[in-house]
Amino acid sequence: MTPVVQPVVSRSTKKKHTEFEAEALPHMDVLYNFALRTTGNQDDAHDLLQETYLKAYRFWDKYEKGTNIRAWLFRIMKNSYINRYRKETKEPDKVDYEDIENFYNTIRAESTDPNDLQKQLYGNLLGDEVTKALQGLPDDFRTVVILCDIEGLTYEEIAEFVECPIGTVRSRLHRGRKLLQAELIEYAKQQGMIKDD
Amino acid sequence: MDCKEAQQFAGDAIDGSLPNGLEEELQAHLDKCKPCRGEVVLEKLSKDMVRQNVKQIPTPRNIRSSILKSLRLEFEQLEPDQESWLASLFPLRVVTPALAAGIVTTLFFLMVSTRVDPLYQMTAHSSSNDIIHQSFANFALLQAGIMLPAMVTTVPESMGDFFRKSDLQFGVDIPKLRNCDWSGGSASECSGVKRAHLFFKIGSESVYVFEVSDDDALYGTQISLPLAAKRALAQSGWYTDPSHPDCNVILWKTEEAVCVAVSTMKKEQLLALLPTR
Ligand SMILES: [Zn+2]
Ligand SMILES: [Zn+2]
Repeated sequence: MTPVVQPVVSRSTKKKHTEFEAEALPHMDVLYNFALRTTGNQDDAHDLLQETYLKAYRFWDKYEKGTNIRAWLFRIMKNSYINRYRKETKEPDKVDYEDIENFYNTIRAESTDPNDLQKQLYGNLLGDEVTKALQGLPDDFRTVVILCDIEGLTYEEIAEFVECPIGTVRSRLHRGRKLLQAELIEYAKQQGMIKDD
Repeated sequence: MDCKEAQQFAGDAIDGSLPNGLEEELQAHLDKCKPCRGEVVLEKLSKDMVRQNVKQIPTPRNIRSSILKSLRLEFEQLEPDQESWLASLFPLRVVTPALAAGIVTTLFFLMVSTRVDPLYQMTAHSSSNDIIHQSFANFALLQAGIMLPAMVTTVPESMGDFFRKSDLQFGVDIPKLRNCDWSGGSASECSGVKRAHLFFKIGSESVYVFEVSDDDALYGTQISLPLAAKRALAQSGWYTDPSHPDCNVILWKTEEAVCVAVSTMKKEQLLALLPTR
């Protein structure tokens, strides 16, 4: 056996490493899903996730013990995403809300059960289309929709994640969902699932 | 509540986060206002669509392992001579049995990835019942994660209790190694010979101690000792093997046991750590 010559190893570094693994790694799935829904493909999601974890590792000293680690990781991911893709995050002004309203008005007489409505409207819609529509949302809106409807976070948690007041979360969610409906209706029309009058 | 407010809180109603007291107010408004009812239905529809069609998926295995790898690289940059993942556990002060069990499990996975020294290549003590050969082989098994300590502790003396309960029929010698981060122990029986295994972690170094009763070691047929070792143990109670340079093993004898220490350290380093008697 060859003798192993070791320098003085800092225990604090090892401690940090162990701590980081125990605290941060369990949230990988949530972060990965968010990255995937945000970037829309596995490769970019991988890059984003990796960058997030490396940054979190380097800045682990900055993480305040006992605070919401998921929110902390998420904010790192969000910032990485913005830096990486520099997307515009303002709300588009071209969406025709009236279109949705009118459409709804024409069918609401027949049914107010969401399940029926869904079958009626999007019976043949594929999951892929919903994913695509979700991905097409402006960042700020998509973010709250993902956090609420996929990850199941409460408004308070979302507010902490995106560092906005709850009122902002509420309105983004509301508008995000409307935009999503508009997209889906548009798609359903193109597919001839809904008559375009 | 007016339509503006009602529509504002439509989402809250669906997401179950309606502020206290607003429930009845909202319901009262919805009962008499069709457009707002529609708003709620529409919002619910959107939520359901997303929930049903966009599923959570687990992180793909290759992505997960690539991230773990990059974290490890990062760690090794900070600790250039990092020997193994195992070392990252040492700061843990294990006190509770539950935690200890967890560590043992973790050890298994971490040790498997640890580089195994080519101990089996040692040919000087190739006889399979040679006590030095057995000690080396066990040390390799430990490092490979094949052999696991049954208990781990940061207080080596507490292994005494463990061994007393293990019914070994000889007093296990627990060397007081200075600066020991944690240690582990297990007891076994093979070919009628009861054996104690002690494992110590000191900084980045490991020490494994193999013990059997002196009867088994000196007079038994299942375990053999080099003749030189027998003589030295009888004379001074200590034996180091000078004839094989690849063999940094230290033997000593107590009233009831013969102990063999194998380590990642140089023999001199290990000798300095062992308390003189
Ligand atoms: Zn109304
Ligand atoms: Zn030898």
